[in-house]
Amino acid sequence: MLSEQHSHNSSDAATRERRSKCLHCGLDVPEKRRAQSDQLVADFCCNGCSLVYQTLQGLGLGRFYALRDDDDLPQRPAEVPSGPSRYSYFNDPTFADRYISHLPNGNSQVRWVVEGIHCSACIWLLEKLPEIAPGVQDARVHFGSNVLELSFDETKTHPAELAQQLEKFGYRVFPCDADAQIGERRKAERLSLLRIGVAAVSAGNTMMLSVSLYQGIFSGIEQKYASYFGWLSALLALPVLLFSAQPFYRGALAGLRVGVAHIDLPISIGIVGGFFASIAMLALGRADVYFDSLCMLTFLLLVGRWFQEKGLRRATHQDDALAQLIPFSVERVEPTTGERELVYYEQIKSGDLVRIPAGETLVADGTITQGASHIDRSVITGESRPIRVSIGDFLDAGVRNLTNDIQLKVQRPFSQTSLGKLLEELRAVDIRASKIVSITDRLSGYFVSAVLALSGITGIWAFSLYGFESALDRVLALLIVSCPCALGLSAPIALSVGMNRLRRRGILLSSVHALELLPKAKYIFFDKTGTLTHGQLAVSALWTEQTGIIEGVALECASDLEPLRYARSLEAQSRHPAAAAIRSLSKSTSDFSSIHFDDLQEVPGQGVEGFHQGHRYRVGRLSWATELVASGAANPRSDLRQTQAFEELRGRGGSLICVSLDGMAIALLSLADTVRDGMGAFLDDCRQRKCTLGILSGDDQLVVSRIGAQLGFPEGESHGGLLPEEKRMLVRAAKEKGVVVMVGDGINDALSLREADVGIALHGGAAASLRAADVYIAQNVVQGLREVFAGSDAVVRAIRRNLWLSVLYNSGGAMAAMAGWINPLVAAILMPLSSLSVILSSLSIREYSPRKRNVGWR
Amino acid sequence: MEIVFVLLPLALLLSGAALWGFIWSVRRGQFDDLETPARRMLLDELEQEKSEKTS
Repeated sequence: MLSEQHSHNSSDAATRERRSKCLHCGLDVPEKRRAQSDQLVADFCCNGCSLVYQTLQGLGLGRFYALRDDDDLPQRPAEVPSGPSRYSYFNDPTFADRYISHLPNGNSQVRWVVEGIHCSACIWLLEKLPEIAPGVQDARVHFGSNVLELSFDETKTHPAELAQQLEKFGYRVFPCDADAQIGERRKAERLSLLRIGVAAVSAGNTMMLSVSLYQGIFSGIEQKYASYFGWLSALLALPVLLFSAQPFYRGALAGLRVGVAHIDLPISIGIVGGFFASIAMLALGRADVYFDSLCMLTFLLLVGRWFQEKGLRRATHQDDALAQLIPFSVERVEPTTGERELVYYEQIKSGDLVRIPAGETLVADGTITQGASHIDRSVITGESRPIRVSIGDFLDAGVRNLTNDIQLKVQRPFSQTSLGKLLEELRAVDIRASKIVSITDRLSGYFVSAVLALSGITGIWAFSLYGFESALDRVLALLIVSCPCALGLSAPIALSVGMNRLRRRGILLSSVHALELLPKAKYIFFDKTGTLTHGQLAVSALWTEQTGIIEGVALECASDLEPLRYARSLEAQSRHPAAAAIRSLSKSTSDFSSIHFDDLQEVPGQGVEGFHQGHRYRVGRLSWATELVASGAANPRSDLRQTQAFEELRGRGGSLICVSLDGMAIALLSLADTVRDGMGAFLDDCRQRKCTLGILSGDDQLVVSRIGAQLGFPEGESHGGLLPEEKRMLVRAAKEKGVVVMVGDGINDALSLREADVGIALHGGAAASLRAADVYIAQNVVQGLREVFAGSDAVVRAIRRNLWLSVLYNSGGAMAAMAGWINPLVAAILMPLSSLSVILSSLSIREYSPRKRNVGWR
Repeated sequence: MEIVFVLLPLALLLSGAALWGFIWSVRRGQFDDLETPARRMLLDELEQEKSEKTS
C-alpha cells in the first residue's frame, strides 16, 4: 500500500528551488509524493507512476529502474486504466479472426504494437511476462518496430487480460495490423541483405586471390597460376555482376529514361566495364584484373544504402496510426432495453445507438440523442477550446467528448467519415517517395559526364601517344579512381548519421532529405493552437480583492490565495478544460481537495457550485457566479475596483472565470492558451536566418492577430479563420518563392504539411503524422525545433565537407591516372581510403547539446 | 604447388557453405530484428551473474 507523506515546502527553501524528476517517467515533479520502499526515497509525478513503481517492486521486478537507459526518450507516465472493459474487444470473435493466429503446438499467438517501449529495461520487463502472467508461454519484443509477440495458452488466459496487465505497467497496447504491408517490406529488406551477403563473400574471396596476383606483379608469378586465379576471380565476381549490383543498374536505367545521369550510372559503368575489361585482360594473358575492386565497390555501396534505409524504417513504425487516435471498442446501446454492450468499432453501423462516456473519442459521425456536454474538436480544427453541444447536434468522428456522457445516433460508420477516409488515404502511402532531389544526385550528373568525357579523351590521347595497353591502364585507373564511392556516400552517410542522432533526441524523420532542405528554408509557417501555444487553457492572469491583478511569474505564488483554494477544491473532479487550468495553477504542495464542500454540483455550461459552512461558492461564468443566492438575479453591487478589473481582464481576450462567495466575486481568472516558453526566442532566431515567418490558423482572426503581434509576426502574416484547404493554398503559393517549412499538427494540418517542402509535425501520433509530414517532434516542442534546425545545419555542413573531400580526392586521383602515375592497382587501393575519409567526416557530426537527466534519487 | 588447384575450390566450397548458411538464416527471418537481440544479450548476462551469486 502506498503511504503518502506530503513534504512541506516551507521547511526547505532549497527543495522548493530544485525541480526533481519523476523516478518512473522523468517528467518534472511539481508536487512531491514519497513511496516507501526499502531505503529508497523517490519522487513521482503522479499516482500512475508511483503505482507502476509499487507494482514492479511487488513483483520483484525493481531491476527495471536499474536497467533503464537514462539518455533515451522520456517515458510517458502510465495512464490510470479507464476500467476493466477497455480491452474486452480483444475477445471479440471478429477481432480474434483477424489478429490472433494459431501455432502448430496448440498455442495462440498475437502481435501487438506496444507504445512506451523505450529501452532495454522495457524489453526486459515485457519479456518477463511468461513469469508474471499465467498462460503466457513466450514473449518476444521487436525493439525497432515496437512490436510484442506473445504466444499463450488460450485455455489459461485471454488477450484482454494480458493487455490489461501491460497497461498496469504503463504500456498502451494496440493490435498490429497490415500483415500484408509488413510482408512486402520485409521481403525487400531480406533481398537487400542477400545481395550484401553475396557481395561480401565475393569481395572477400576475390581479395584473397588478388593478394597473390598483386604479389605476382612485383615478384613474378607463373602464368598458369595467374590465369587460374584470374578466371576464378571472374567466376566469383559473376554473382555480384548479375545479382548484387542490380539496384544500381535499375537506378542508372531509370535515370537514363528520364534523361538524367543518375549517380548509379558511373557505378554501373564501373562495375560492368571493369568486369569486361578484366575479362579482356585475362584473354590477353595479363594479370591486371579488377574483380576484387568491383566486388568491394558493390559491397560498400550496398552497405551504405542499407544503413540509410534502416534509419528510415525505424522512424515510420509499422504500428497502426489509427489506433493512436480512436478507441477500438464502443458501447452500443440496445434501443428498446437500454442494455449496453462493448463492441469492436468496425461493427458499428449507421443507425446504431452508442454511448460515449466523458473522456472518450468518437468513432463515428452521429447526432446526439441524449445528454449535453462539451467537446474538443482539435483533431479536426486544431482548436481545443471546448464547444458546448446538446441534443440534436451533429458530431464528427475523432471529436473528443469532454465533460458529460452522451448518447449518439450513428450517421456514418468510421470508414465513411472524413477522418476515416483521411487516415485511409495517408495509410496508402507507405514511405513517402522523396520528391526532393538530393544535392549529390544533381552533382552526379555533372560528375558522370565529366568522367566519361575525360576517360574518352584520355583513352584517345594515350592511345595515340603510348599505345593500347597504356591507354587501357589509364582509362581504367581513371574510372576506378574517380570512384563515385566517396561522392555516392557523401550524402547518404551524413544523412543517416544525422538522422540517428536526431532520433535519439526525440525527433523522427520519414524523409531523410528534409535535413538537406531545412537550412535553405525561406518561409516558415506555423499553426497556432498547439504549435505556437500549448493548445490548452491555462490561467494567464487573475484578480482578487487583496492582490489586484496578477499575471506572469507572480502567478506561481498565487495558488495559495484563499479564493483559489476554494476554486481548486470545487474543480477537483471536473473534467472541463477550465478546471484543468485552475488545478494546474497549483505548484505548491497543498492538497487538491483540502476544503470539503456539500452539495457539490457541476452545472453544464455554467460552472461548479458547492456549499461550505452555509455559504454558497461558485466557480464559472461571471454572470452565473454573481447571481444572487435567493432571487437568481445578477448581483447589482458594482464594486468599482471589480468592474475595472473585469474590463481589464476582458480586454486581454481570454475566457473569464469568476470565483464567487454568495454571489459576490472574490476572484476573477483569465484563461487563455499561452504561448510556449522559449517560442519567442526561437522565432527571433529564425528571423536571424532571414526567414519570413507566418501563422496559419483556423482560429478567429482577432485572436491570431494578437498572438502574432505578441510574437513579432508582421501584420499581414497572421492568417486566421482558415480552412485546411486554404492553408494549403497559401503554402503552395509560397513554394514558388522559396523553400517552405510548415510546422503544425500531424492530423488536422496533414494537407499543408504534405504540401510544404518540409513538414514538421508536433502531435497526432508519430505514425499518423509521419505519413503526411517529414519530421515529427516527440519531445519538447521548442527544443525539438531548435535541434532539428541545428541538426540539419550540421548535416549539410558534413555533406559539404564530404563533397570537398571527394572532389579533392577525385581530381587528384584523376590527374594522376591520366598522367599514368598510378596504375589501376594503386587506384583500387585509394578507393576505400576515400570512402573511409567520408565516413569519418560524417561521424563527426556532433549531437546538439546532449543533456543528462537527473533521476531524483536522494 | 599444383595442389593449389585443388585447394582453392575446396576453400571456395567452404565459403559457399557459409553463404548458404547466411541465405538460409535470412530467409528464416533471423535478420529481421537486429536491435533487440543486442540489448537482450546484455540483460541475460546480468541475469546469469545474479543467479550465480545467489546459488
